[in-house]
Amino acid sequence: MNKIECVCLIEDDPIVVLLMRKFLEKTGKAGQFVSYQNGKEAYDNLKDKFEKGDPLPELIFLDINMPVWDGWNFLSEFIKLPLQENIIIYILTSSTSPEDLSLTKKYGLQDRYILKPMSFEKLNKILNSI
Amino acid sequence: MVAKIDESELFEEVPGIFWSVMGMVLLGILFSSASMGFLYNHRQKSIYKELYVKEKNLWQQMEKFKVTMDSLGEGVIITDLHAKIWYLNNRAEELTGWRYREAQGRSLHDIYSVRNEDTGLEENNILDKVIKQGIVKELANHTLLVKKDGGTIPIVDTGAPVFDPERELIGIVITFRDETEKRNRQKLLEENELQFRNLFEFSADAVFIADAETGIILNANQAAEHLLDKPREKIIGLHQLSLHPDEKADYNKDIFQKAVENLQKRDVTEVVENEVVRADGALVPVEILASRVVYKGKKCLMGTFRNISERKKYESELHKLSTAIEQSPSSILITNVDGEIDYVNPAFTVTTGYTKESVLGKNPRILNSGLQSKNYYQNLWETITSGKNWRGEMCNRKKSGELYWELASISPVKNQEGVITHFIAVKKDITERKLAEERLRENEKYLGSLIKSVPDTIIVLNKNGEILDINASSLNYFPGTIQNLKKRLESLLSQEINKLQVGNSAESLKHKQVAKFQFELSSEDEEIQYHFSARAVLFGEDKVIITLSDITESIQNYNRINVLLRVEEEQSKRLQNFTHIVSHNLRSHTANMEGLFEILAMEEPEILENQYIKLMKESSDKLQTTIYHLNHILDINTIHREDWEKINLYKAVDNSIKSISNLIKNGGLTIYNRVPKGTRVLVIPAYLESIVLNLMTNAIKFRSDSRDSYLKITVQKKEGFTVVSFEDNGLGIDLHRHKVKLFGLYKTFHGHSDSRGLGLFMTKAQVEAMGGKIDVESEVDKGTTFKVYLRDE
Repeated sequence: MNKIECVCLIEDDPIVVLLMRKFLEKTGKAGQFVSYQNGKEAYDNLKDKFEKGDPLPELIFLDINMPVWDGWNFLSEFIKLPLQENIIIYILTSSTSPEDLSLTKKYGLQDRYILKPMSFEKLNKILNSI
Repeated sequence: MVAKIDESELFEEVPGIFWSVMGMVLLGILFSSASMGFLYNHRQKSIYKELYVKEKNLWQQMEKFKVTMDSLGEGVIITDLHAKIWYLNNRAEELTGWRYREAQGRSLHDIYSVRNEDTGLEENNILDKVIKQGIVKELANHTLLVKKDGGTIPIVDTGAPVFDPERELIGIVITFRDETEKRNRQKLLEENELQFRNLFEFSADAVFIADAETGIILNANQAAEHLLDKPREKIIGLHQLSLHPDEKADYNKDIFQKAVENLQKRDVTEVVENEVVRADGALVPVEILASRVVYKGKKCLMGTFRNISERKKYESELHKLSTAIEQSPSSILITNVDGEIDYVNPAFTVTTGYTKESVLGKNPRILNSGLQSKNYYQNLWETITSGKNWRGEMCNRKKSGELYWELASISPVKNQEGVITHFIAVKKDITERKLAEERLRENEKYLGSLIKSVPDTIIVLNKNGEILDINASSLNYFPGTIQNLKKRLESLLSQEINKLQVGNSAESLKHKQVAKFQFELSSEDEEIQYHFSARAVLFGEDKVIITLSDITESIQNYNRINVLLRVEEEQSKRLQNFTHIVSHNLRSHTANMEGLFEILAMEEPEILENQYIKLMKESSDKLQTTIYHLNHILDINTIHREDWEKINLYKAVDNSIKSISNLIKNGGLTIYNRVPKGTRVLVIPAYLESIVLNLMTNAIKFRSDSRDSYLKITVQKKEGFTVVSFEDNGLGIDLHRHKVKLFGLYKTFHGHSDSRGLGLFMTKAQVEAMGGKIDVESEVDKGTTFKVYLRDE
């Protein structure tokens, strides 16, 4: 199994970021881990990398409820970038509101919708499936 | 008659023998007298005796001759060659009227004067004819003898010569007989024949004479020619069968044969109806009567054929007319001039109940109800007796006593002289119409009072929007004159009507459906705005009825409710958002805690052994469960139509039982699935499963340890619902204390360690989300029955 070069988490809650980092370390299947505090920050940075030609993360976990830009704002802009690589995006949220569920469907991500909390087991499964 | 003919025939043959005998006798007589003189001279003395003997013989012979002559039926006259009468017999005396003594020695011409009957000329040359020709028979035809008294009689005569023994002609003898009777008979025969011929020939009926044996037609008359439209030559020689249609040949052959047989005993047959085929192929109905005749020496049948086409036509017309009368739905009654009933048709019996037999000869007065005045009947009678028709409505009484109305038309019937002979009454039962009229009047009254009593405004307009009628209730809304209101309404409604006529609603008006519209009208002081709901119906061809309901208050209420509804919706939405945010935030935090505990367990498991940390972990888990439940409840509010499914209830219950069979077994509970196998219900399957499982686990949890526990699941239909009952014999619930809270959130009633109180709340929410309801009956320490109402469709 190939090691994933870079995993990205877009999340404003530092505890979630901490847990993700810890779990990733435990799995030992990911090389690099980056996190951004909101959608805007993530978009700006990733766009910058893309324009410079730097490698982009292969796997992105995206929270929905965030300040500045929420997950949907990020997604609507991010998919406009003419990306060549296949980037896997998972929604990681504690929201079950119908609006969010329907938006998930709209982006075709209904199979990649993870209800918090993220556990070690869930993460392991995801990494194995890639 | 035959005997007489034979006699005359005999006489025709007699003269030859007779006259030769007679001649001989006469000659003998003459010879004897001549020789007597001679003997007298020569032997006077001795001869006297002989003479005497001879004279005696002679006298005897003379007597014999005279008796013979006189016994003859014919007249006999003997003359000498000079036509001097020498002898007349008795019959000749009778026929000529001359006595023998008078006639003796006179000329034959005087005594026997004959004339030709046809020419009237005298025929007195008999002597010459006999002298020249010898015996002459039938000296002249149609001979009349002129008697002494000038009268005449028809005779037939014969003349013959008389010779002496030396064959010398010495005279003639004439015999003649009376032909009067024979002539008369002949004449009668001729007359009869003529009569028959005329009867035959000029009969109005067609007559055919056919050979009884062969059936061949031997003669036919003019009428027959006319009947068949064929000349006689073409009829004669035909077989009688060919007169009739071929297809009935067997039948006709039979008829003919029977006629022949019958006519051996009778003179004529009975009349039969038949048809003959005309030259052009057309069939003519005829009536045939056959009789027996002898024609040209052959036994024949004479058929008289009467053309009955006209009669048939009249018969059929008469039949049609009488059928029309018999079957007419109108009562028809015919009386004579005295007013006595001659005829009634069946409809009369149907209407009045009187049979034909019971009214014949009676006066139509029997129907009198007494409701019409005497004058009324007097007028009727005067009208019809003056020869005019009378028409009118009258109320009569049936046999049963029931009254009925009829429209009667009574007409006098006149004969050819113009004299009234009968009256015909044609009467139509109009009771229904009369009743309908009555009902109509009542309805009008009823409608009138109805319209007066309705609070709605009813307006009748013509198509130009002009108000034809308006009820008074309108005035309640509008103080002011009705004229003012009319004007304002007219301008308003005519616009609406125009809209209705051009728009789609025009179609609906045409189809007599209701067109609806609304409009506003402000009070005269413009302070109040009235709202009206109007319904327009096309009435007749050119009228529109509009009913106006004042909906001002409803509109105000509606607006108020709309505002409230908007507020409510807004709040509900906000509340929903709120719950989502709350549940999201709570979940984030508990999720974090769970994650942290997980990491802690991985990195520093010994810390988890700490008593406080343990309690903290426990609290976190419980919070997690609570949030899980909260999210469930939220989910119920978002049902999607596609989740509905029609499923087999028996199978659903059965599957649930199987899925928790271990639990049931360990709990020591017996579950009876008494749901009929074909029961189908429209449900959200996930909810149904959850409900069934929840109620089953409830029964397990709250079973009583003091008895064998069971749960019976049964079904009954009630008020459009399929009611599923879950009946157990468990601990039961004190409904007096708990009923209100039973289905509440986080309520428990048993102090049972396993009860968390969410189950029934969820069950109720799910049942209600499927449009049903849930009921409970329970008694402490007896058991509990939950009734789940599921929609049939």
